[in-house]
Amino acid sequence: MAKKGKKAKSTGWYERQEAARSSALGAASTSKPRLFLTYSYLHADEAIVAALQQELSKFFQVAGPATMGKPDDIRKGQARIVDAIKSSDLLIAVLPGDTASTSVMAELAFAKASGKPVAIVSKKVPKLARTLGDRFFRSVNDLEDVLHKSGPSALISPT
Amino acid sequence: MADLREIQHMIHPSFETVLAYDYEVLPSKIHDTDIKLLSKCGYALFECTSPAGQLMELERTADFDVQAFVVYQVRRTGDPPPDYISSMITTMDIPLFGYSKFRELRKYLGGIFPNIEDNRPRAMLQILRNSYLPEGYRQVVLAEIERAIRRH
Repeated sequence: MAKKGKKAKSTGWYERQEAARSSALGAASTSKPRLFLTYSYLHADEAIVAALQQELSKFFQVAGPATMGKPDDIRKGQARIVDAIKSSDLLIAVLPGDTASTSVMAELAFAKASGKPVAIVSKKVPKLARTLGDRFFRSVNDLEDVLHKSGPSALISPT
Repeated sequence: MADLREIQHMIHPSFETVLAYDYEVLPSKIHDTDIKLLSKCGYALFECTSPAGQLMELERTADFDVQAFVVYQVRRTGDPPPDYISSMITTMDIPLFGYSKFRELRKYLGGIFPNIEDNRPRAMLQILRNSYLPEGYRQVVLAEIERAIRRH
């Protein structure tokens, strides 16, 4: 959430969609916003992440560890992640709780610093992640409910 | 073994340290005892300079919700993980730290323990400061984490 008097940074996606909608007199846009989906390799349930990714791909172009595969080299892997976050409109992180991985926290911080909206799915959000996230969901189901009711703009529009 | 003893004494005294070598068990019970010890810990520190079956234990840390750290020796401070650290470890999403002097390792561990219990954001910052992150990305991430700690 932006502080009073401080303008929240925007990825531009929401504004582009709003402009397209108003100029096209209601014509639906076919382009999907880009999403970076991240999670801890060690703690995540791969089946849940795969199901979530499938669901999210109805609304977003999804990138992240789930689609990029596990890198064979830490340097190449991190460079790819930086590029993917930079070109995303939104970051969603699935966190296991207190033991959030440092690489996921780094990705959250980088997305936040780059002005990307950050959504966190966690039953117990780690303290530090609370100040890095914009929207919080207790479960994957909660996130999917919001998406189905309000669409991707519910996550991308400024808080 | 001398290195492990040295490292054991770098951990803040508020933590009880467990070194598997200190437990005399039958050779046939080594695996089970080791895993049982691991499961009783909240944190695990792996010195991976010499491969000694750490991968199996590292894999099990997530099952027991044990937070793991990997440290290894490097020639020069700040070097990326050397080739003898398997990519199975470097891509495991566990904090990694290469040290060329014991005092660097002492400082690193001193910033994590006991902060990880009392002030987790501060411990996270310490871990990230010492993790291998690409230049540019590194500065942005650390600055944002410091801002987040101030906001917290």
